[in-house]
Amino acid sequence: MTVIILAYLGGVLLVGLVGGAGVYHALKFGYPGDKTRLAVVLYLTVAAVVVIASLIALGSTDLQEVA
Amino acid sequence: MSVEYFPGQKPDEQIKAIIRPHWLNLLGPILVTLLAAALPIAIIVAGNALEGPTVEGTGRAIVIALLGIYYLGLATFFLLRWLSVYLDVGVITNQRVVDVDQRSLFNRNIAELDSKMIQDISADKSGLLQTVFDFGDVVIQTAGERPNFTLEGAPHPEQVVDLIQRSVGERSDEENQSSTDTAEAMQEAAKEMKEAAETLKEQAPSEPEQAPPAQSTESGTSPDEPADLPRDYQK
Repeated sequence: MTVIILAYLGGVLLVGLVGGAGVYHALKFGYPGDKTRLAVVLYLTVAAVVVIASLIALGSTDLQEVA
Repeated sequence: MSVEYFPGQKPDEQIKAIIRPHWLNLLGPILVTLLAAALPIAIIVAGNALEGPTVEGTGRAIVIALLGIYYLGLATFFLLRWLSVYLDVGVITNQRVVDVDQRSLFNRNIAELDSKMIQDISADKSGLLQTVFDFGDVVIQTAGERPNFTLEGAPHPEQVVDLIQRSVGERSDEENQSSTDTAEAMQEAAKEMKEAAETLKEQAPSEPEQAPPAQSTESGTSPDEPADLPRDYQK
């Protein structure tokens, strides 16, 4: 289980690096009053929900395989 | 503090409009994202409905982990696609047209066109979507050999064309007015100088009477003339 969670977090980190680059780009080149900040907030919210839901689901998984 | 919409923006430059592509330019990525998001759910629902093999234990954990990374990647994909469209900006100022082309992440091209170089402007709408939802390309033909300037996917392209034409016209009027003002100022200055010259001429004293020829004396000066004044002194 630990291996699976570590692998999962590694994948999240890789995708998160790309997403982080996108967030940085949006904040750097967005103009005041436009929708870039809103988009960043929405993305971070969705990402947080996905990660937390996945970790909860992983944590509640019973690893004892059914015979 | 004024906002800098593009590099090299001048302090006295007036921003007339900022044009972003119509949201329907994102239709493809929106559909792909929705389909991709629904696909795993559809597979799971179909599997349950068809009473297919269930995944338990370690397999279930792996599927959950993969789904988590999958949906996170999908959200990131949509964010990047949205940015590549939303950060495509056309800026119309009183002096030029600037096209900020966001090609991909960290790949950005900025082109500008002085309004004096604009020869012709046209709106180009092609296809059902563009016609129904009123968006399309604004094509600006330039003077000389420079390639045409295009603002892609702009909403209400005819209005954009009209705005650019008015901006070009206003700049032309301002320059003509400036030239006229300069010419008038020069005429005023010339007139004042002429008046000043005439005034000076009127105020200049009349020429003195011709002095009688000097009588030569032993010292070389006339008897009425002070000795220390030059011979040809005139008041």
